[in-house]
Amino acid sequence: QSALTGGAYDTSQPLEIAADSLEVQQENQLAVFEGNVDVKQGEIRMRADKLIVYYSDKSTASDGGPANIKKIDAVGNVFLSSPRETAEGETGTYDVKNKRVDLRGNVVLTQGKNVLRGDKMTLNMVTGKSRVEGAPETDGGTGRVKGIFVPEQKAE
Amino acid sequence: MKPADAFSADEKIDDQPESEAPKFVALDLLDGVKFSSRYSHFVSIIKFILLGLAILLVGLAFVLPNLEKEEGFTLDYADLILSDDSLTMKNPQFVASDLSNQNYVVTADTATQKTATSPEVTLKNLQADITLKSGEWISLSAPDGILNQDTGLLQLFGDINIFSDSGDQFTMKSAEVNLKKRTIVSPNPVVGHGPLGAIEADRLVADQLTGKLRFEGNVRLKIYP
Repeated sequence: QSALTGGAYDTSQPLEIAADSLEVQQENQLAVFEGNVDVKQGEIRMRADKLIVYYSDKSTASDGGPANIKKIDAVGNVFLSSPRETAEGETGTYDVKNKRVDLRGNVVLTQGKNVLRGDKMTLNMVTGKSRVEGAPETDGGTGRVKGIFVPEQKAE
Repeated sequence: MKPADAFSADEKIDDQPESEAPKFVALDLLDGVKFSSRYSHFVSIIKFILLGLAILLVGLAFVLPNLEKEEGFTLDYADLILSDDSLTMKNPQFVASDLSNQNYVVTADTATQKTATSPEVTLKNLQADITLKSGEWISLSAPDGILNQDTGLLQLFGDINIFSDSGDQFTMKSAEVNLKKRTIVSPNPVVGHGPLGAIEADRLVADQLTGKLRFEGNVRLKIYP
């Protein structure tokens, strides 16, 4: 079951983003949010220092459809939470089209009292499945993931 | 409508170095020659305002086509009224199109220069309509505006509205348009909404040359996927 969603995640909900500033770079089709960035979509919430939204406006959208968001990069103190879990890391990416979230750098996942630490996490928002990997030895890591799982107390 | 002498496309006011910006000559109102020189200065300023605003509006519209050389344009007006020392152009209308079929129509109810030496021109009910290459139509309206032609700063007041036919709308209370640097700054809250979502912020800075639109302070964006 998902480390973050407990089931399929509803990406059709409106996406609300709050920040200190937003810069739209039309030529690069980028929108950069900076400062206390707070994103909400349904029950999922994401915070970060900076968010870079890659969009294609309708004049360049391949299918001629309305402008749409292709990808969102989160940089700095990335914190993702749902009602049952949290996930944090140094950087993150939300691939809107493939409905996938990647977190990288000191990744910590929590679910209740259970804690999982690694270097990289990938979450499939359609299936709700997520995968955590340790830091490769080449990067000075142990290549291993560490987890603490606290058994639920049996009713007496 | 009386056509002002149509200025050829390459006589762009903003290409003039700062020192050569049109200056007004003290006028002896009875002397025809001096009046006509004042008139032509006045017309070139109106063109400067309307053309600059048109180009900036294209930038503000989230679309930044490269603005090719204009094919030509006309500046018409209904009447020119000289009273005391002020010169008022009634219903100035500026129509232009460039090589890639972008059409600009910018109008005002009146454009008034209070005195011959005043660098300021007051505008009432500015309205700019632009049709872009993509066929999209965008409109800007502002009840009041004051241009200082020495600094090239156009202050717009009142409820400024920007619409596009794709359903996007922006409203702001005031804006300072720098026609020479091609920037628009709105120092107070900006609200925008459209089919894709809604946005609000404390300030807006739009730079047409770099193609950047910057919202600052309490930015809140809502997107409907």
